[in-house]
Amino acid sequence: MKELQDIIQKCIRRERQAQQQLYSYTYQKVSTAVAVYAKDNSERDWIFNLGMMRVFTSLESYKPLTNYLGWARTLLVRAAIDHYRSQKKHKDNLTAIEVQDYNVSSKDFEEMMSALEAEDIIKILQQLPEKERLVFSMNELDGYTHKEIQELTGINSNTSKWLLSKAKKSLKSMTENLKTPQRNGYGL
Amino acid sequence: MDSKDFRSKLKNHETPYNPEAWSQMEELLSTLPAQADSTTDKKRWMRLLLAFLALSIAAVLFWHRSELVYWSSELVVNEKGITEKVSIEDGTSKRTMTQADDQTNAEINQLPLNKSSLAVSADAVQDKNSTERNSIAQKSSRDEKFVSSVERTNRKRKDAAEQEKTKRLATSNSNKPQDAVIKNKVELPKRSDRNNSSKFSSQVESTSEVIRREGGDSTAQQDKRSTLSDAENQGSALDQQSTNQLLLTELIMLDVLRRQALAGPEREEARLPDNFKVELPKPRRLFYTGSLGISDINSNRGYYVGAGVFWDIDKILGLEPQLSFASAWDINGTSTSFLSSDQELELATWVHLNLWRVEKHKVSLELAPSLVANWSIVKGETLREYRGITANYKAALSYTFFMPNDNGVGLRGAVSRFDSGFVAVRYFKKF
Repeated sequence: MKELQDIIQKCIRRERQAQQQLYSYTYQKVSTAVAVYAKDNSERDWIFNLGMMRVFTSLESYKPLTNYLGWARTLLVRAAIDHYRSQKKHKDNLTAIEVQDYNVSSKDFEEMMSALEAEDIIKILQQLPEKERLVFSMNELDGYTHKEIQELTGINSNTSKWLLSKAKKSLKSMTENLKTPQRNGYGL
Repeated sequence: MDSKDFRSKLKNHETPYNPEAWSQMEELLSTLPAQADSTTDKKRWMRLLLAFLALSIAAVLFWHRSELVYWSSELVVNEKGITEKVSIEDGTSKRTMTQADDQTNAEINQLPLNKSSLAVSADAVQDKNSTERNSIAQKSSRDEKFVSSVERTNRKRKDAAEQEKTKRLATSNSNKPQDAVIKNKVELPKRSDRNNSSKFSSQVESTSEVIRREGGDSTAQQDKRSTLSDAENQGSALDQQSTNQLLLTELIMLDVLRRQALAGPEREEARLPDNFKVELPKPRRLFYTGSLGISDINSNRGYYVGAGVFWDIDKILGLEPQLSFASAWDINGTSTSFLSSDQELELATWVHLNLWRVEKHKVSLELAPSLVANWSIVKGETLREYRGITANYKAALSYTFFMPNDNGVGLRGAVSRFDSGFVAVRYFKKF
């Protein structure tokens, strides 16, 4: 812990070697939190770097001996949300619809997802459409409410509920496909 | 299996380090401005600022003390429309005035005894200075009460002198040369010389000497009187009255001024005669203030506007409640959206400590506790981050020039506890 504090102090003084150490440590521990918002590893690294810029420039406001990873994770997730928002193509032109038809059994979904390895979960999440992935990650993984999602992303709360149900349905479908052995065209 | 298991798996999942990602990161980091030893720099600036503040406050306190001494010694006597200042800072002047005061008391005590000698100083009326004082005294409406009291006293003396003269004219036929009268000519000080205490005191000395000589040489005066005609006697009696009035006025004024200067303005006001009005400068004024300038919030540049009310309490202090708004565009390379910006809305109470203050110029150190609301926005989108209302304090250095119409213009540079500041042009509009 003391070593981490020393590294942070050196990072405040903009020492490059310390910055690399902190970057490496954070990357290994928290980059998964960003990966679930990205469509692939390349975008994950880009968003992670944007988030780390915030981390490096905000280190003076970090309170020593507190949970660094939790603090950094918050900044990185916020960077991912801002990255989504900065994309001009994300105009929310979806119409709010009723979500009952898309309800997925929570218990079945949890069991199904928990049966997967972390890398598989990330992989199928990255295959989701962008808005579904965003809403699912914010709501299911980072605990944002639909109201907060609306405030932060501009996506209507009813729309985000629908997107969440749709994401769950897609994930269920993808999980089943993942479990099913791929046919090789020879009936094997 | 735990229902949150897949979340735990994701949370505990570690990704192997990617050197390529770091190389991208290095490129981003190289865009940041160099900030080596920023903490040390800030500490150094804070120490310099604190030292400056301490020196400024010490200077203000020292100056304030000097100012009190100066104010206590500065007495503005508005007498007959003439404003004069008497300083007691000079030790020599003070001593001279004390000596003059002793003599003044002696003169006042001797005056009733010298009524006959005063009666013969008719020639003094023709003296240029005496004539000037006489005309000023007659013009003064404020001195009416005082002059009338002196008149009553002198009228009694005049009556007594005339009675005595009539007796002597009937009994005495002796003649004395006019030189005796010329010798007795009284040289009174000019009004403009009043603040030159030593000169005035010497003149008072000569006056008292003349009066003593006149009092001691009653025979010569009697001889002189015998040479005057009745008409001359009448004219000289009138002139003598004026001369006596002026002499008394001068002596009493000197006494009053001396006492006021020694005792200070507060206690002295009650002791002043009605015909003296003491006025102390009161620079208390109210102004509307407007500010327009350049802001700096977290190393981003923008604009600053402010409006307030400035109360110019005295030569040392001023008070200015002010509402201001500052906005700075996010140009430091970390923004994720074009034209995103930081905003500040602040309610501050500026306390002006004047380092230098004359009629038209003011240089002041200004300190302000304040409440500030900060937030960030992204152009065309909803509120991004609101950081709430926090307590803040600011320090500024300011120069103001007051124009002849009492309005003013100025320049203020300020820094705050947080990483922000501004430079603004200011305008003062009198209430």
